[in-house]
Amino acid sequence: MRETQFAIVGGGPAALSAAIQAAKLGVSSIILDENPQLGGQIYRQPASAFKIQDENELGKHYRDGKRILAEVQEYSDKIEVNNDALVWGYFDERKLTVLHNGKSELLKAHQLLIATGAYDRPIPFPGWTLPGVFTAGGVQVMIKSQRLLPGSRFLLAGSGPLQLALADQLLDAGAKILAVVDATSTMRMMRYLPSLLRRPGLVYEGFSYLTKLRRRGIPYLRSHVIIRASGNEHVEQAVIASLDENGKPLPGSERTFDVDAICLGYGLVPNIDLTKLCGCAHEYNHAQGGWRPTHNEHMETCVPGVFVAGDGCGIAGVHAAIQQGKLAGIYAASNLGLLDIPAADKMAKPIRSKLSTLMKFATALGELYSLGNMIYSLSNDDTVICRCEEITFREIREAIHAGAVHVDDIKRRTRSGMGYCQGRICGPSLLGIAGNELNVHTEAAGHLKGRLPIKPVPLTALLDL
Amino acid sequence: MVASTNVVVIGGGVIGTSVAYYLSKAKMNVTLLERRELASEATGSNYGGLPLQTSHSPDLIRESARMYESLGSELGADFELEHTGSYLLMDNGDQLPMLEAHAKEMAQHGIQVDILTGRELREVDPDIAPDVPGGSRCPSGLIVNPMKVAYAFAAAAKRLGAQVNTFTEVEEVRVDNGQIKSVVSTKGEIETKFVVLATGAWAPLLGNKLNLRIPVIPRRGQIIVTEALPPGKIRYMIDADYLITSSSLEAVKASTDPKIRLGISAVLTQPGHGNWLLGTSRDFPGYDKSNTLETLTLIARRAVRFLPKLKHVNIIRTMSGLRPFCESGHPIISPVGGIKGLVLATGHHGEGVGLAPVTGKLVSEIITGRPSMPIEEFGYNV
Amino acid sequence: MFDGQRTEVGNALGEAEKGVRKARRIGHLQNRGTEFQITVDGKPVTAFAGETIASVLLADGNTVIRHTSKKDEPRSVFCGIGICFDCLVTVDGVPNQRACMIPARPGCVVTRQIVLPHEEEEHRG
Repeated sequence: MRETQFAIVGGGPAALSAAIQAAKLGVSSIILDENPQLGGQIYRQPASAFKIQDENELGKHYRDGKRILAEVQEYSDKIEVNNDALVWGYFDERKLTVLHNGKSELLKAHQLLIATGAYDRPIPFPGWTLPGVFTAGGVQVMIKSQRLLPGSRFLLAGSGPLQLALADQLLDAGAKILAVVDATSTMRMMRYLPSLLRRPGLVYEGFSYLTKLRRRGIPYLRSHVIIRASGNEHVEQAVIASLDENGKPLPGSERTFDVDAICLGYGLVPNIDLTKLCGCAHEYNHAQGGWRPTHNEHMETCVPGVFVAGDGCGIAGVHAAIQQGKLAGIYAASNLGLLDIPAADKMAKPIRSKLSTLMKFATALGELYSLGNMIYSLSNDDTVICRCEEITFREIREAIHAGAVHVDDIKRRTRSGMGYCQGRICGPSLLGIAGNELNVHTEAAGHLKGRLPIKPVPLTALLDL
Repeated sequence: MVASTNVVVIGGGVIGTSVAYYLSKAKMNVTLLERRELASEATGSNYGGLPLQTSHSPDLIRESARMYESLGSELGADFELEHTGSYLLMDNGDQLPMLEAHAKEMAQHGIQVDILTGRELREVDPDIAPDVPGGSRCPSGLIVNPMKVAYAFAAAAKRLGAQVNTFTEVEEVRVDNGQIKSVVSTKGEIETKFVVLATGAWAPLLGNKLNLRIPVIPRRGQIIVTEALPPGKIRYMIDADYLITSSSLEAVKASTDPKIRLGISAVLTQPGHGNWLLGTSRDFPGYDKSNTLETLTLIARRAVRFLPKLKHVNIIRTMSGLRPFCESGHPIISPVGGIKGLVLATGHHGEGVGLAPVTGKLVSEIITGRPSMPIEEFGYNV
Repeated sequence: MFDGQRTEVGNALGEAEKGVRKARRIGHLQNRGTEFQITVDGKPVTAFAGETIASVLLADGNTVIRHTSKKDEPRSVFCGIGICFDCLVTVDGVPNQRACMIPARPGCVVTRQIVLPHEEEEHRG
């Protein structure tokens, strides 16, 4: 069994900054990243076999990512990087089962950081399973990392500023954008503008994206959602509608666009599979993306020696992730006896101060753009909610009205969540639908129980241990 | 929640919901109380198997299996009953006498079991490991979706007027002068004449509050669930080692062989949706339901020993549940001397799903009339 | 093989007509890794080192990656980061692999799961 002082699960900004910070304090760590290259989502690098002619083409995050990756390299004597390494199981006292390049390994971690980030919130609506309907994050990865444009006529629908950044990337790549629609109202936007002005740079960036769209004659419509995608074997049309004050589509307001690609950007949901498995406590925080693991000021969870950082413990963006990673690195080092708590607190003080400002902004942004449960009422009876097992909205509602109030019960009754994706895609929808049907707060329906493996692994992962 | 009723059934698993149904059918007013959700414990973490040929209560299981045949139409529900038959597979030729003796015994209880050679087994299913020397087939073995059975019983009970309350925990059962008076729960108190305790592995906890020593201990079972595969020809396989239930639990617990200590023997089922359920294990962890690496690894090894094609198949989840293990080896379906109105329906170990229909019927007969089958073997002896 | 659209260099402002569904590679093709061939549904298809199978399939004009087993409905890439398991293909005989996570390698054989492997066996008889 391998052992490490500090195991870091994830490859994005939180994971990388934690590794660097810990290395600076003398801690040896192993980064376990499922992907073939470090960077996570926001710092995703082009495929290593690709050659970069013009870095400017790839944007700010590429350059920031490159810089932090270079710093990780500088500490290569302290930071071991394992790519293609899937942490699929957690057993008592920080024993991790890892599938590394197809080989099964057991790793004992003295301290553990879970920085597994987040994923795009799936919002079901009629036709959303058609080929050509993508998540905004997925399209960004295709553009950044694979230099692939997955269509030619795009409609962007969702809620939040990531859509504008994506629109910009799509235009640079030569795509035609028919419209960008955002479910948030202008009124709501105005209400939050004062809080957002804490980060004037970002607000300015948002406005410049909007200006670009306007200059090209691309409609940017607030208070609008996509209500239907249609086509034969592939998406050919997108129908949008405007929303009334209750967040419901207004009959008669429909507009149809001829498209071959739809990007859904409804914000992010923290990846909590590993934290659930470790036995961490979780709380529901709507503005931060829903269920998130709780932690103290050290970024340590209720499970001793298990830390969290980054979007995986609440959506707050790349800069917050970096500061949180640093805190986790500091206090993991402290737990390992490399510096005492007063010294750690001293080092952490300016980081906490930065983080506090960032979190205020992130919270305001989250509150502005997070949608109420009405967004889960776009489906009709035949809309597939669980994509893996093809379970429809009707079946989910029937289960709820037969007595299921908890998502695990909906899962038992309908098989929703029993497929390959293990409930990641349908999970948030089950919560929202239950909230609507039972007229209760979203969190009342709980979250799916953590089960291993957190991603499918072959039986050999056990046999070869 | 109602203020008074005829019967309070405590426990919303397959046993409790069955009891609620049969009592409602017998025109009793029933309130079922479940502290979490229906089928959220052992009922929700097993493979729903009625092998028949490995039953410890063969007369009871035969009757229950017979009831299952018409239960779907009676309850108006589909719980995915499949007549897979069940196949015991030998690990080695030395087990043949044991299988033959067992087959004979089952025959005496009206359960047909045929001995098959290794060649005959592989004629049915070529995927079975080439060195399996033979086994036995029980044509009447079957599988069901255990959760859907519980949901079907509960829905039918509700249609007949039963109240089903989930997220309702029982705090106290009040007895006055040796007679059940009421049940106090987190949602209020209900006056009642009868209480049926169907809380499986948790029966001793309420039992203790009533100064009853209910001889039930939690016994954990873990299952690996694979991705969906094309249907195999044999979809219910049992390791012949499964027959070897130890007479001495102390010897098992003290064994240095993890396979024995953790009670590993292969039980492999493939219901209609195509996922293989790979079990099973039997250990005593108290009320700890976590999945453990050692057990999962041994289950995986044992599964592949019998069905090598599983080696590269993907695991998509694991489950774990606590069976109510009863020291006598039989369930307890019995009134309790000294507490009038209290009926125990627990201790079903690995046969809860199988025995649910007959248990529900017997409990209903105990309360409303006379049991239609001999139940001395399942009595509660203070 | 390449048609004119795909060898287009630089940032052409979309001249996509209605109904054109092709995904396309962005930028200079020589900035990708080495070019090689993989097999998709029995036909040779061009791929570049560093591309995932999903990218190769999409760039080659495939709009559907698989059909679902229950309702026979078309699916393609959805999440692009390996969590939705929609983009499943058979690679070198192993079914249900995520095309967006698997790098294309010279000579690899990809079959789309439009007909399930076991149904194929039954059809072949």
